[in-house]
Amino acid sequence: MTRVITALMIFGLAACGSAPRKDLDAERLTLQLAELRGGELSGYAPEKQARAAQVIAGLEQQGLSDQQHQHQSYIAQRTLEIAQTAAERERDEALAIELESEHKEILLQASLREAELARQETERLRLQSAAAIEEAERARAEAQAALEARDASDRQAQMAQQEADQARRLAQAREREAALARQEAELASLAAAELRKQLDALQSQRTDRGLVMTLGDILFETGEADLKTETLDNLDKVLSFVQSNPGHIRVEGHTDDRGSAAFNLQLSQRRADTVRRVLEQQGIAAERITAIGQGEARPIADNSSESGRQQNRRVEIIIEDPMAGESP
Amino acid sequence: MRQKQTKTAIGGCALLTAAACATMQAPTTELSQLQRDLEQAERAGLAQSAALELRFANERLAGARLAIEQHEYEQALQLIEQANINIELAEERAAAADARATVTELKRRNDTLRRDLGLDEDRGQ
Repeated sequence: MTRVITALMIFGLAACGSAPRKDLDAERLTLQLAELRGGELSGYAPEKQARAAQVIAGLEQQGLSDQQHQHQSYIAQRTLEIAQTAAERERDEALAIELESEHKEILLQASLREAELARQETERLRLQSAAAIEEAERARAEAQAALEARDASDRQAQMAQQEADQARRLAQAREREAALARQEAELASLAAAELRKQLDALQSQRTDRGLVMTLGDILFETGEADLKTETLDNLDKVLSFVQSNPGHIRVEGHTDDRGSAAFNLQLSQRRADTVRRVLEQQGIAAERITAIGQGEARPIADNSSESGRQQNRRVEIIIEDPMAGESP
Repeated sequence: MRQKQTKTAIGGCALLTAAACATMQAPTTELSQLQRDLEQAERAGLAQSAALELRFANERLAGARLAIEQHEYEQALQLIEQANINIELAEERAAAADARATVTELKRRNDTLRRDLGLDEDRGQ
């Protein structure tokens, strides 16, 4: 009974004295709690937020003394701070987990990038090595080409050398040929000079058989019956001899004693015939001429020497003295 | 402030007369528990991250002792309760500071890593 009265007294005092301040504390804390629950931290430390809400709601209850209310307000204030701090902590812990996974992500990216760089480096090295191989191949090909070119030029040089040798040999051969030709020409011109000398020197001699002109062996082709071309071109002396002296013309062929007598007889006859034919061609009447081969029977020199034999090889053109035949 | 509170508490207790006070025991067990909790909190280094809360708790511990001496047991209990909730808040603040420091460190580490790897452009702030 006493307690109830006392309590009523306290309540009455408290209600009268503290009612406006009570509301102020509660209002302020309720507002702060609402901010926490409506803000970015709303989802964190939910049980602590609930506890703060409960304590703050407790401020509304009736029958608290002024001191009790003040105390409860303090506790409520602290409880709200605890909720706030715990929410921040939980948010930071969540953030830390996020940052950890971000860290892993960064490392992953880094390793991916590193792998990419390594791949690029490998690719670069691969290209480089391919280029080096290509370069080496090109250098090898160039060296090969140079070698081949050198061989070719060697071969060319060798060929040129051979050609030069051949040309030199050819030149030598031609020189020899030319020398021979020159020699031959010299010999020929010597022979021609000798021939002309003999032709120029042709003279008639008066013998008991008549006027005799002797054509030497040199005027004939060797071993043949034909006269040499030069002889035919220089018959002036012979012609003027037969034209300026009248009388029968007796042409006699003679040889040396080499070879068979029959061959010599035949050769001497043919040489005599040749001369007769030449004279006829030059306009001498055929009935004026007699051609006789005497062979080796009538030498005029010694047949044991070459010069003697040469003198014996001859054709004599004899213009018979018309008086000789008449006088016995 | 505390002076006024104490006066109010005494006044309240006086108004309650013997009724409340006479029936209550001195909260010595709660007091010594509070003392141990405070010592442990200080040993745990909470004074660095939550110095203010620990100071509040110490003041309330002292107030509670005084209240017990004056047989103001209800007030002593309130002060013990206030001290306890300050310790709780101090622990919460320390844990939050640790978490914040961890976040700061992780952010720094990620930023450094991104910068060192040249990945800044890839990601936003």
